[in-house]
Amino acid sequence: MEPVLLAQGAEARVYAARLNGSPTVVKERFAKAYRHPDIDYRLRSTRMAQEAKMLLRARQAGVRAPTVHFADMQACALHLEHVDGPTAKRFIQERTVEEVHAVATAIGEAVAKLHDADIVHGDLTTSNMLLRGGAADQLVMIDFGLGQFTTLVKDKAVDLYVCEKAFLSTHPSSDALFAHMLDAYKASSRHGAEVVSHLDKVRARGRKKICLG
Amino acid sequence: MAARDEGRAFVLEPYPDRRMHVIVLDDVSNAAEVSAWVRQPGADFAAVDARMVVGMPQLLAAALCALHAEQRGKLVTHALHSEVVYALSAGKQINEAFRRFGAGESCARIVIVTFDAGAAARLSERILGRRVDPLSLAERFDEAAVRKAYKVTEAELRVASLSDAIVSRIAIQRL
Ligand SMILES: Nc1ncnc2c1ncn2[C@@H]1O[C@H](COP(=O)(O)OP(=O)(O)O)[C@@H](O)[C@H]1O
Ligand SMILES: [Mg+2]
Repeated sequence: MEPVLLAQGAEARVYAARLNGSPTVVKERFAKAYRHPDIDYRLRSTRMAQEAKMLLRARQAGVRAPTVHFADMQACALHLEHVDGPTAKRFIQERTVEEVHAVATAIGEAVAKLHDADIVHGDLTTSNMLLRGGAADQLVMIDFGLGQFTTLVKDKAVDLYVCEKAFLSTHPSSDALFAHMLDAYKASSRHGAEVVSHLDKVRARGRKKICLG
Repeated sequence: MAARDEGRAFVLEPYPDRRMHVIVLDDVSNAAEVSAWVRQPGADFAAVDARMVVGMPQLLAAALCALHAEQRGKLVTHALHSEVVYALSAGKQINEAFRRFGAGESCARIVIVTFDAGAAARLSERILGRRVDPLSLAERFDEAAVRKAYKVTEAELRVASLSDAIVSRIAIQRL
């Protein structure tokens, strides 16, 4: 059976599979011919390991994330639980105002939990969030490839800034929606107010001066 | 002649030519012997304390890691069957893994895991105890001991099952 390709990014391809009877997705960081093979392997395996650990840390912080079923260290491929449901992107595009509101709240609360555990996601786009079973209260965070541990308010503010940019560019006239997400964040994060006020500074400086990678 | 008893066999998809045989026994009366056999060099099975096993996904995850380590020439314990016990642990410490997950001399409920059908048949005759279905492992384990060994928190159990929490830890143990 041919594997079904779900997504192809710059670094990884994601395809549907099965493992020990459960539906999985395999996220494989493919080799790049232009890099030295040793360096290439080291990069891919480090990022795979980083992502796998972050998925577990997210859960420990009380945020839904897929189960890691297997880490193939040969292929640099993570075998993850297949989360059955739309991305938040699609959900927001297709659902009612009430449902979309509920998801914005869920996103704010999930990001707050991550930040309170000193985890920044690094790529908070609505394509990196899934809704298990299409339910607004079953938000699952994925794609922690750029995640990192940090206690700095400024890093958390940048995480929100990336999220804001992604929201506004993916979802037209979503200012109110993002504001609602921020309210939920502020209400549930321990340092919510501080991070959100730092977000204003980050906005003022604009994207140019910030190292996002 | 009755078919010989090789326990229940499971296929691990990435390694379709291997069979993992699982035998679960309650009220084992010769655990001391089992524990002596499994310590011999070249032992062809693993003996796990059933109190630490919450279900088949946990065993399958550990077996998969052990086979993968063998294939890559990275067996930490230098043998496939002992590697299954090592792979069950969330940490990298070998002694701790065996202390927590290995079936000890007075262990009354034992899970045998082996990739060798002959070993499964031999052990199903020699281990004295009452056979139970591997799928019933999920019904009787020591939750407190398991949660302590894997350091599973309340917050995590609100968003994941205990089995899934454990599988993730086994999968990333070596990373
Ligand atoms: N665990 C999963 N369950 C279901 N779909 C997934 C899962 N992981 C990834 N996907 C799908 O694949 C896409 C790309 O995965 P992602 O981890 O975001 O990779 P990339 O780093 O290439 O963006 C996601 O947007 C989602 O649609
Ligand atoms: Mg992505």
